[in-house]
Formats: sequence, C-alpha cells, structure tokens
Amino acid sequence: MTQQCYHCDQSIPVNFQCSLYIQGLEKFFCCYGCHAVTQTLLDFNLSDYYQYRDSPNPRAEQLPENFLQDLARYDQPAYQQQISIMHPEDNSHEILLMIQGIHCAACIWLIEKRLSQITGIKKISVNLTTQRAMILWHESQIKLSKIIEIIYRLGYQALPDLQIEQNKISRQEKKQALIRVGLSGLIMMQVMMFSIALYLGGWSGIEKAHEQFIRWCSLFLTIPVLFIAGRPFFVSAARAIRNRYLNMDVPIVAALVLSFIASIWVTVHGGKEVYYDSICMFIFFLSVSKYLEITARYKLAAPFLYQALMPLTATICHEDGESLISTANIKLGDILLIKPAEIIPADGIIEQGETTVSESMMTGESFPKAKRVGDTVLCGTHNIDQVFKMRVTEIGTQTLLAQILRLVEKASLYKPQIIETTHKIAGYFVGAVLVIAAFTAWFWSRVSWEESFRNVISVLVITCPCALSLAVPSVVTCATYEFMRNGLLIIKNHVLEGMNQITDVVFDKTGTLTLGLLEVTDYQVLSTDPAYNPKEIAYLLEKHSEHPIAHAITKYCQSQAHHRDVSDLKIYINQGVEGSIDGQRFRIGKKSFVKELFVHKTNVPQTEDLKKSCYLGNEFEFLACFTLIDPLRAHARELVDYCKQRGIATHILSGDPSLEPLQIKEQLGIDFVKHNVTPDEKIAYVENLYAQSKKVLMIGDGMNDAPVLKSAHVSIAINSGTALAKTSADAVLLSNALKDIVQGFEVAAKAKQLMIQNLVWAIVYNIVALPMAIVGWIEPYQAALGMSASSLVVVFNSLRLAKNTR
Amino acid sequence: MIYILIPISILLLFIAYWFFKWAVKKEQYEDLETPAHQILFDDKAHKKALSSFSDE
Repeated sequence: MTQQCYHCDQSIPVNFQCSLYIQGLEKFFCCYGCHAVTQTLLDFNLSDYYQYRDSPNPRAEQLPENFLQDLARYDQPAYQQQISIMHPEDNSHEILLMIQGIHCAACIWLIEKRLSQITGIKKISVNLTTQRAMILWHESQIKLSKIIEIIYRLGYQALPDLQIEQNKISRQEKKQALIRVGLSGLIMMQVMMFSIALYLGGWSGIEKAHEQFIRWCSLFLTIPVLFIAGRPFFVSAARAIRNRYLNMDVPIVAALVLSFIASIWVTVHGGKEVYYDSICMFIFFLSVSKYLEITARYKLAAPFLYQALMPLTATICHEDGESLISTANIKLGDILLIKPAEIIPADGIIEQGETTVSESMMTGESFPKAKRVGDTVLCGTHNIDQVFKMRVTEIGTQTLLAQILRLVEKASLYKPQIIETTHKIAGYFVGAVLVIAAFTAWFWSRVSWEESFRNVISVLVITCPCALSLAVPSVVTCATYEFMRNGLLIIKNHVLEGMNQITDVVFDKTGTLTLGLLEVTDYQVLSTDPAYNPKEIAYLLEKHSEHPIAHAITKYCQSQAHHRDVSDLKIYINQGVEGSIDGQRFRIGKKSFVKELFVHKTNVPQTEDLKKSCYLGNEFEFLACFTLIDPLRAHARELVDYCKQRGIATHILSGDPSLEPLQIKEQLGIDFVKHNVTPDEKIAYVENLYAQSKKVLMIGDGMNDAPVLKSAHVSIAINSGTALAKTSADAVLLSNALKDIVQGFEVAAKAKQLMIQNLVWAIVYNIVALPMAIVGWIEPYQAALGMSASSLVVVFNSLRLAKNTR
Repeated sequence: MIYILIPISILLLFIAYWFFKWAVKKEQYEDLETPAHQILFDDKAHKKALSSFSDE
C-alpha cells in the first residue's frame, strides 16, 4: 500500500523513508523537497497552514545547489531598475512578484504571515485572483534575493512581474470603473427614493412647491451620474459618430440626452413627468456591466508571461575578469560567458568550450544539439551542459528570435475579422432604431411635444441595448466560463463561433501531441552480477547533469537514490557521463561510448539503436539499458478520433527532423504530416489551406508555432508551452489535457444553438414591442421594465449552457 | 421640514461616496476571496506579531 505525501499528496516511492512529527503524529513525505518545506513551516510556527489549506500542494522542488548564487543577480542595481520601483521618500523599493504554486487562501495567509515576520518588509500583500504579491521593502535591511529565497523555501516560486507599468494602468482602469459603479449606484438609490415621492404624489396629490423642490434635487444629483459615470459611453458614441459608424453606445447616449433635456424642460416649465430615476438606473446597470467586462479582461491577462523570453542579465568577459551586465547593453563582438541552464541572450559563435544546447522552442526538436568551437548559437535557446564563451554576432532586432517575433506581428494581418461583421450589423440596426425614433418624434410632435418626447424615449429604450446586443455576448460569457471550467482559457471572443466552422486541425508535435519530455519506458538489466544496483549508479552519475536524458533517468531511478561519493565525474558532450564509485569506473550514455570503457575490447558488430537508448556499463560489461521516448499526451487518440467523427481533417506540422512525427501519424491515424519545417514553412503550409477556403484550428506550444497561432482562424496554446505561444494564441489549454479540446467543440456547438434561440427571441420581442412604443402604448418606465425583462430572459437562457453540458 | 431633510440626505450621500472612493483607491476591493477564508484562521501568533505590520 503506497502512502501519500503529507505535503503534496503524491505517492511515496517504495523504500523512501522520510518523516516529521507534527503535533505528535508522524507524517511521511515523498521527497526531500516536500520535507524541507514542511520543516520550514514548523520552524516558523506556521504549520496551521496544513489545516487551513483546501487542496494539496504541488510537489516541492529541492533547491538546486547553485540556486543561492543565481538569486544574487536579483540584487544587481541594473536588474532592480528594470523590475522594481524605487520610492525615494523613505528609501523603499516596490516590486510585483508573480508567484507560482498558489492554490487557495491558506497559501496567501502563509506567504503574508511568513514575510511579515521579517524586519525590513514594509508591506506585503498577496492577491489570490491574480497570483501576484506586492512587496514594499527596505533594501538596506533585507535583500530581494533573500525575499525570493524565503518564498522558495515555503514551496512557491516567485518571479518578478516585468509588466509592472502595464499592470498599474490596468489596475487604475479597474478602480475607475468600480468608482463609477459606486457613484451611479448610490445616486440611483437616492433619486429613486425621490421619485417614489413623486409617483405617490402624482397619484394622491402633492404640493407644487415640494414637487418642484424634489425635481430640482433629482436634477442636481443626476448631473454627476451623467457626466462622471456616463462619460465612457459619451466618449465611445462620440468616437463612433466622428468616424462615421454607429455602435450600440449611440442610441444609449441619444436616449440619455433626450431624457435629460426633456426632464430639465419639465422641471423648468412644469409638466407631467421627469425621468431622472430612469437615467440613473440605466447608467448604473451599464456601469456594472462595464466593470465586469474590465475585471474579466484584467483577470485573463494576469497569469501569463511566467518566463521572460530573454534573460535580463548576462555575464560579460573582459581583460580583468567577468561582470554582470544588463542584456540591453550587449554589443556586437562582446564575449559572453554562458553557464548551464541559462538562456543565451544573443546570436553568436562559440569561442571556447563545448556544450549541448536545446533549440526546441525554435525548431521543435526535443533533442539537444551538440555545439563546439565555431558553431552558431541562437538567442533565446537554452544552454544545457557546460559553461562556454561566445562572441556576439547579432543582437536585438537582428536575432533569429526577433525575426520570429516579427513574423508573429505580420501574421496578425491575416486574422479573420468575425468581430467586424458583428459591428457592421449592429451599426445597421442602430441606424434603423434612430430612424424609427426620429419618425416617432415627428409623428407625435403633431399631438404635443410631451407625447413626442415620451414616445421617442420609449422607442429608444425599449430596443436598446439589451435584447439584441445581449443575445450573443451573454452566451459568449457563459461559454467562456464553461470553457474555463473545462480547462480552456479563452482570450479572444471569436473562438466560440470559430470552433463551429473548423474544417482542419493542425497539430504541432513536440510539447503538443507529445509531452515534450523524455521518459524512461523500458529498463533492462543486462548483467547478472548482483554486486551492482544499476539504478543507483545511474542516478549518481546523472544527478548533476542538466540534460533531458539525465532528468529522465534521475526521475526514474529516484527510488534508489543513496548518497555515495562519485569521483572523477566527467561529462562527454553528446556521448554520456563517466564517473568512479568506490574505485570502479562506470559510464552511462551511448552504446559505443560505454563500450569504450571495456578493458577487454570485443568485436561486437555496431548495431544502430532505433529508439533512444541509454546504456550503463562498467569496465567489463553492460549493466543495464534504459529506453527513452517522448511520450504521447494522454487523450491524443481521443481528440483525433473526435475530429474524424466530425469530418475534420488532421495535420501534423513539426520542426523535428527525425522520423518521430511520421511514427506518431501512423500511431494516431492522422491524415497529413510534414516534418522538419521552419516557422516560415509552417505559415506557408497553413496559408495554402486558407487559399482552399479551409478553416484552421492550430494547436501548438513553441515559439516556432507563434506565427501560425496568430494567423489561424482559431488557435490553442498548451499551457506548459512557451510564453510567446500563449500570448499569440486565441485560447490556452490550462489543463494541458487534449480531451478538453473535445469538450471545447461540444460547448461551441451548444453555444451556437443558444445564440440562435436568443436572437430569435430578441427579434420577436423587438417586432412586437417597437410598434407598441411607436403607437404610444408604452410609458418610459414600462419600456425600461420590458427591456430588463427581455434581457433577463436572454441571460437565463444562456445560463442553460452550463447545466446542459455537465 | 422637507427642505432640511433632503439636503441632509444628499450630504450623507456624498460622504458615503467619498468613503467608497477612498476604499476603492486603497485597493480594498482588489481581492474579494481571501478575506472570506481568513476569518476561519486562528491567529494566536497574530496578536503577538501585531506590532510588526500594519495591514490585515
């Protein structure tokens, strides 16, 4: 029976013993990482966290050995200038940190509590919805690197939010929208109270002086509502009219202005009715919906860009040594020192050293490339194994990375404009409403101006904005929420409509159809000698390497991890690792590499390994063989089958030059495949499909997918992919589960049904109500009621989306 | 009577609005989920540490 880790709730590997006593009971852990986090919590008296949290934590990563040195770069003044704001009045710094690993309110409590225990922290505030921490601290009392280290020790990863300026602006916008809601809401309530008096007065009699007084007070209160809370609508309508098109805000503004003028007229010259209460209420409801819209946009933008595309600092070499500089200051010809696990900050040529570099985000190839002196390295790629020195040949806009980004910009010109059509239709509708309103005004003006105003307002209010303009957006909102519940985060609204029209699906391979990792699938013990535990030896040899193969092997052999001394550890680029344990030499890596160690050279014929295999051997024989593959994502088959069912053609476009994409095509039954493609070729392929009037859904995750993601009719980025892919796509698959894309198709189909239902209702309602308003059967308040009731019908119908697809 | 009460109510209204504006500016509406959970957290250490930070 496997136990579950106290911290992360994952299964504890057999034979792994690690425990702590918490409140008298012994609790077990799956790894030293989780153990360290819980120990930290106990040390600082924060173990109550485990009672407050409502879900288990993600598995804690053990801190890598040079972690603390890496953190030191956060204290560099050049870096701090870019990521934090300095407040000179009290010498404090302010920073916005994105924190990964937060999953409930207890995490907020934990982080805030732990950090407030530290002197030097002036203010700490963590937001659960945006997963950001705002920290004000005194650099002299505590360093930023220490703050980030403390957060890591609690089990969370903190990264500076590079968009600190943009975030400030969105926050401002949100606050203003909320203030408008408050203003219009408060005044609306007051004015409605006044109007109750007026209504009752109109029914049972009221003194003229009192009536006038109340009317003037209502007028006075309506002014701030119109000009402060109503301002966005006036601005939008003015912009539309200036640019000679009509949007939904035009009739709103027309109705507001007319009602206000009419009410002022009546207040000054006497008359039957004033409409201040309707004006305020109208503006209040509109402000609420505007606020919700801004909040939703703000929330959607928050979780992205966890990894910077470019590192902010780099190590430059000059005659007297090395120093850290900001990557903005790199010049052509500079010699840079690149350490393992760092991102290469510019295009260049290797001057000294040998290493392997992962170019997977550029080409989609999952296997790192060997690089030696004279080879080119690209900006944005990952250095894996060794330290090396490079001479910079291209920087900034001339690098390959920048060129891909430019392709992304260009590709957005091909974006289908589904939104434009909606705007055009709305424009015609509004035009029609205004014409009808004008006609009504003229028609009734022959009876009396009062009647005329009353009916024009009824006409304007009863049709706008609701039934028709809510019919589609409300379904979109419910669908967006439903998508989110299914793990699909929608960024652009046209996804919903687009999904229903898809004829072709294009998959990227690495990271999309496959997990983009290497995993050990097969393990064979080749030696009968019981003296050696191959897994233990493999673990010890590969522990220090950054190579994906090493990661896969250490993960697989984790259970056999024991600390033994390894001496003479040497990494051979693209071959393997050698080391000595207890006087014995071992090698792990390519078959030929391991064989070289054999004392007795045998003439075994060279056999090519079809799959990627990793052999372990000592000086005498092979001890074991590990077979590695990049596993397929779960549900890939399900998704492809669903596409077949719906008659959607499937394609794989991959930058991987190996035969793997073809194998996967056969495995899953995909229709077309093209491998070894560059980003340019990917776009050409997809544009060819557009030329055939096909509607394309693109699913990808790498930087090389970004241009296609931007140009496709609908695009989905995998959450575990690159930041660029996520910002270029129309939707992000948060759950990383391909079956949720199937769900997405279903939701889109249901949504279309509901949209049609809503539109039918809205049209019927307008056809019935509009004539009634023209003829004079509707009072303005009845118009407002009718409009509200109609919109409620539409909204409730949209909510059915959630219940049906459960 | 009415000439006194209505102006008073309008004055109260503007005071209410001013406080609301202050609360929004102070970002009290930023995170509406966490405070709901926080009432369930027992803060024995909180009272001791109260002096070291000002907002909660």
